[in-house]
Amino acid sequence: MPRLTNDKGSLVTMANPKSSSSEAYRKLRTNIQFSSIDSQIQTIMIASALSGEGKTTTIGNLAVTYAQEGKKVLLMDTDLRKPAVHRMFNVPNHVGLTSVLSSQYKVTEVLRETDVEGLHVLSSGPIPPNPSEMLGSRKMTALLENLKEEYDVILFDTPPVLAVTDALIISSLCDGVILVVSAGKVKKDLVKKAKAHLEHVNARILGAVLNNVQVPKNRIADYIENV
Amino acid sequence: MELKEYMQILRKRIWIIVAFVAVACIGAGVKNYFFTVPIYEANAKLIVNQAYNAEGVPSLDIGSIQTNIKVINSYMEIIKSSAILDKVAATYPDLGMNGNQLAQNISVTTANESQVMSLTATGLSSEKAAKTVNAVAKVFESQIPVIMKVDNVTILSEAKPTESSRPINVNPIVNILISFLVGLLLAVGFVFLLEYLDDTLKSEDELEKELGIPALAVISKIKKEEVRGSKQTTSQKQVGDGQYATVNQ
Repeated sequence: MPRLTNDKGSLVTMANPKSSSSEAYRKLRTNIQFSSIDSQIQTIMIASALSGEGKTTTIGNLAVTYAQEGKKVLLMDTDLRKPAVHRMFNVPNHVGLTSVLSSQYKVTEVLRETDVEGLHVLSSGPIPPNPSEMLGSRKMTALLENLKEEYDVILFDTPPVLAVTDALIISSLCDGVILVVSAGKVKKDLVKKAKAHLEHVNARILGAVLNNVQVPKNRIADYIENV
Repeated sequence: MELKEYMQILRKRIWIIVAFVAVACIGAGVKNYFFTVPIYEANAKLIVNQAYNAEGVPSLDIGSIQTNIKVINSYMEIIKSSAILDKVAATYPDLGMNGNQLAQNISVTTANESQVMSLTATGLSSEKAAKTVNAVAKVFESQIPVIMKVDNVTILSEAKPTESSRPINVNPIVNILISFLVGLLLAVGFVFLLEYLDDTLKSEDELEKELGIPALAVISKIKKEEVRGSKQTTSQKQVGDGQYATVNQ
């Protein structure tokens, strides 16, 4: 089933870095850094209860803001069921993470550069029959250890928490989890359930992002845009 | 909850309120203009007064007035009895109503402590209502001497067909106003109910309170014009491999 939303063009941080939305993503980046003063947070995953809450958009823009800060960033698409990162950054997806995990390619062969300096993308690759097993494999852990040496920040896009276990598997590989909540779309109980699932596997939830908030244009936003 | 928040809730679902009110008003209007049989009213007044006492001398003393007032109560019953109304139906066949139907269409009232009876009839046209009320009044006036053995009822005013040219049950302005208010009330209630039943997370405070985790960022809906900045047009499909990233190992 193809997505109804067009992911391309939602990278506001790339298209319009001065806009208030871009500022919000920068604030997210800053808050993540502040939320972990004691420990280094290198691998961050985005999670949400349901699909369509804005995981890919959020993590994509976050990746761009990290790169704009001068960090070496890798964005990995671990949504092996409905991958979307490659479409957002307009990179091909005939090979990717699954090709590496199934030993067909080396990781160096499938990493993609993007239009943003310092931001690389590892797309999902062909959709496998056993996504959960692949993500939980030793090969995946080893791959991640390698990549950690190369990149300052590694970000993961994942499937919805309540749909499949993939996100929980990834959360065990990450230093921190950000929960995206689409305002006015998801019932409180479901969000709580997703959070409970994550806590159950000892994921470190850094905090939440409230997405798709409808706010009237305020003067602060106007000010930031016109600086 | 402050007044401001209430206003915001209402503003958010303003279209529901507008729809409710519009439907209510249109409904009332349609009912008024298309589905209401207009009913007209006409009334006549009768006065109960003993014109002459036994000696034929005109009299107007307290005693006789009191008697007349007392007697009015009986007259109100008599006027609605079949003795009168059957006679009306027989005398005026063009009314097309029998005694029972007449009884349903007329009502008698009297102001307290007065000698005036007010007779009201309803009908499908003002002429018919006036005709009916006048017929009843005339027959009653002529029958009282027969029934009560005393001639003390006079018609004070007859109904004129033209004076009650507006139907009593068609009042579009008032009806539409009432339905407007009722619609508004229902809509506001409905909107608050929806808000109450909506158990989604909507605000930063709510999120922090319910989940007990900090809200790292609040991102508003990204507007189209924000992204328009310097969007690359990538209409051409890329063929083959894109650029590979090299990792220094």
